[in-house]
Order: sequence, then structure tokens, then C-alpha cells
Amino acid sequence: MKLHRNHVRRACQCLVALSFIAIPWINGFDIRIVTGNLLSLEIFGIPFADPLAALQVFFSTWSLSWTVTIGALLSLTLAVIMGPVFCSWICPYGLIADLMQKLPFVKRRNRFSRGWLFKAVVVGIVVVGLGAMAFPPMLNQLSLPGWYTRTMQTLWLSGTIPAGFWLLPAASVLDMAGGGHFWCRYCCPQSLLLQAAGLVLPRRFRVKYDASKCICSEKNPSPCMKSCPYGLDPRERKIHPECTNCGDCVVQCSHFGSALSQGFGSRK
Amino acid sequence: MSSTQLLPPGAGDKKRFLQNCIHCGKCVEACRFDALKITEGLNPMTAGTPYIDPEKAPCFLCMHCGPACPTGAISAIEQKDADMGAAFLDKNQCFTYLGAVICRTCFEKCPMRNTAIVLENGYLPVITDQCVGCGVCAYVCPRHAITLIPRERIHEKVRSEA
Ligand code: SF4
Ligand code: SF4
Ligand code: SF4
Ligand code: SF4
Repeated sequence: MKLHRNHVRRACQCLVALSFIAIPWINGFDIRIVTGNLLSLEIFGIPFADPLAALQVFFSTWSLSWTVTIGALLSLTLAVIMGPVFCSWICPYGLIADLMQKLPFVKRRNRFSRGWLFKAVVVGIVVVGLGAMAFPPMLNQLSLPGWYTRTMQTLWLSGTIPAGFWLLPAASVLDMAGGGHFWCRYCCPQSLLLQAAGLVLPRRFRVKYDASKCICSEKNPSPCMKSCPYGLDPRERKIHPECTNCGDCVVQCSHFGSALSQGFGSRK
Repeated sequence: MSSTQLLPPGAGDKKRFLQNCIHCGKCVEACRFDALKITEGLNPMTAGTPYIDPEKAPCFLCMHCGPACPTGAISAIEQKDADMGAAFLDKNQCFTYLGAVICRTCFEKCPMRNTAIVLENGYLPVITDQCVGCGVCAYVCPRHAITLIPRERIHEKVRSEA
């Protein structure tokens, strides 16, 4: 079996998911290389933060600590250059959703291609509204990468499973019923700022399509579209902001015309 | 949940604290005395924020949580500014005041001994207005003669009396 980039991605996802089981345990021995969870993290003293959490704090207090500002900017910078790779390479729920999609009865659907826009508007109103009413960062309670890592922390720190853990199976059921990655596409508020950041630079790391090599013009849906975890069409003229650069379509396309590739390019 | 829940030292006003806390749990990981616990349940206002139940595990004012907090929800401060509440000693319960035995347990264990608790005439424990309300004395007192009032309730009292 040839080692494809999707195997590297899977390994990366698994490594992150397993690390977050071990991290709170290791911290218990006062070895603090990585502290925190996927809402706010510190790796060798470098802060990373969920930009949405930072934005909520900012809107309700009109101030933000340096640590969180730098942490959020670092997370956003990754998305500016690479797109929302957090979702396909790091997020533990992204891994669960990917694996769920391997189940024979979970469908891949591309039902609302404007779904992300709708979600962006709803989340935008909620963030501004909660901020105006000076509420705490409540959208954190919908963060599945947050809950995955928070569960492990709570488990090691106080031996209990927090109620929010049950959002993970609940979202999985939603994915089964509504089609793969339903939560990620239509519910997860975390991915939005990363997707928006991915639109900032005219040239960034992305999936590129060379129509002259494509041999599937007649096939609809095309093999690449069928392989996309989010039901996107990688051959669209403008690659969709939801594309996480997971690379599954590129691997799939390599069995056909190799018209898809990944690299730095513009959103043409 | 116990009625005497405390916020971490340096959390200050509860509303401001909740607005800033992003539920990362770093403070709880940093606590050397397992005093900080993560608020469980489904209340979106508080789930994931840290608290102290001083009857189970009081805060020993190690002051590790403030520097660990990325958002400033817990400020990095000194012991004397912890401002978590205040302890009150009931002289009618205290062994030493009753003349039973000379007990100095609270004085010995207070992380701010000689400041927050002083010994009057060399033996009578007196809690001063320097007390920050960490809850250690109430926790260790064998006679349960000390009551701890959380910051919020002291401020309520002050407001209602003003
Ligand atoms: S959309 Fe949300 S839950 Fe899905 S992979 Fe991205 S961050 Fe994780
Ligand atoms: S378009 Fe390709 S790279 Fe983008 S998310 Fe879909 S399969 Fe992954
Ligand atoms: S370290 Fe600060 S932001 Fe994180 S849980 Fe504790 S109080 Fe909240
Ligand atoms: S008097 Fe009691 S509550 Fe106050 S600081 Fe000392 S031990 Fe803590």
C-alpha cells in the first residue's frame, strides 16, 4: 500500500486525539509541556487560543489579554496561510466525523452549499448579541474540540465525566441522520473564523484544479466530489471556503486524471 | 453544591470573572492543593469555570492559578490581595476563648499567619481585616468555630447596609 497524504493526516489526527488523553495526566506529574485544552493551549510557552472564544471575551468586556490575543492570532495565522486545516488535521471531533463517514449507512451529502453562509450569519448575530448583553463566552459550550479535551481534563482532575461530553455522541447521531459532517458544516461555530481567515490572502495553500487534465467531465457527481468529507465539489471555479485542505479529493483524483493538486495558489 | 463556594484568589467580581474565563482549565491544572474544581453541569454561564469548595479543600494561597490563567479572569496577584471572602471566629465556640485548652490550630495553619490571624496577649486568636478568606482556618478548626463568608456575600451585606 502506498503511503498517501491522507494516511499522514489520519496519523496526525490520531496523535492529537491521543495526546489530549495523555496531556492532563502528564500535567498531574507537574510536567507542564502542554497545558490547557483546545479552547486555550500553551505548548512550550507558546499560547494558542480558540479565536471565537477570544472574540466573545472581547465583545463582552471590550478588552483582551495579550496571551489570548497572541494565541488567537497564531491560530488565525495558520488558517490564513493554510485554510481551516484545524478541522481536518487537528480537531478530535473532525476525526470522529471522518471515521463515522466510513460507516456504510452514513451518507455524504451536499445539500445546502450555502449552509456555511447561513451559519456565519447566525453565529455572527449570536456573538454580537451575547457580547452586547455582556454574557460569558457561552458558545464555548458548543465547541466539540473543546468538550473532547475538557472531558479528558475533568476525568483526570476530578474523576468525573462532564455533562458536555454527551454532545460528542449527540453530534455523531446528528451526523448519521443528517449526512456525514453535519455538525461540522451546519452547527460548529468554531470553524467559522478559521474559514473566514482562509479568505484573507489572495494566494494561500489550497486545492488547485487543472481542467485540461480532468478525465471525469462526464461523471456527476465526480469521484473527487464523492470523496470530499464535506460534499464539496473541488472542481468548482472558486474553491469553497469550507474546504479544509484535507486532501482526500487529491488522493482520489490521483487514480483518475491527477487534475487536482495542493499547493500555493489563488482562488480563481 | 456547598453554600460557601469561593471563586479563585484574584477572580474579583463574579460577573467580570465569568465574562473572561474561557474554560481552559489551566488554573485547575496549576493548583498545587487540588482546591480548584471545574464547575460541572450544563449551565452555559458557569460550566467549565473554576471554583473552590473550602469545606472539602480550601485554598492554601499558593498563588499558582493567576499566572496560569491566559485571560486574566484570575489576575496574577499577591496573597494579600486574594480577596476571596472573610473568616469570622465565634468566641463562644473557640477552645482557647472557652478556656478549655490553648489551641492555636487556625493560627498555625493560616497561610498569612501573624497578618490575617494574630495572637492577642500571645494566645487568643483574632482574625484581622487582612484576612482574605482562603478558608484554611475554618477547615482545620477542630471546634468548627470559624465561619467563612464568600466575597460576594460580604459585598452584598455591605451594599445592603450602606
Ligand atoms: S467544523 Fe468544528 S467540529 Fe468539525 S472539524 Fe472543524 S472545528 Fe472540529
Ligand atoms: S475539496 Fe478536497 S481538500 Fe477540500 S475538503 Fe473536500 S476533499 Fe478535502
Ligand atoms: S485559567 Fe483562567 S480562563 Fe482558564 S479556566 Fe481558569 S479562570 Fe478560566
Ligand atoms: S484567617 Fe483564615 S480565612 Fe483568613 S487568610 Fe487566614 S486561614 Fe485564610
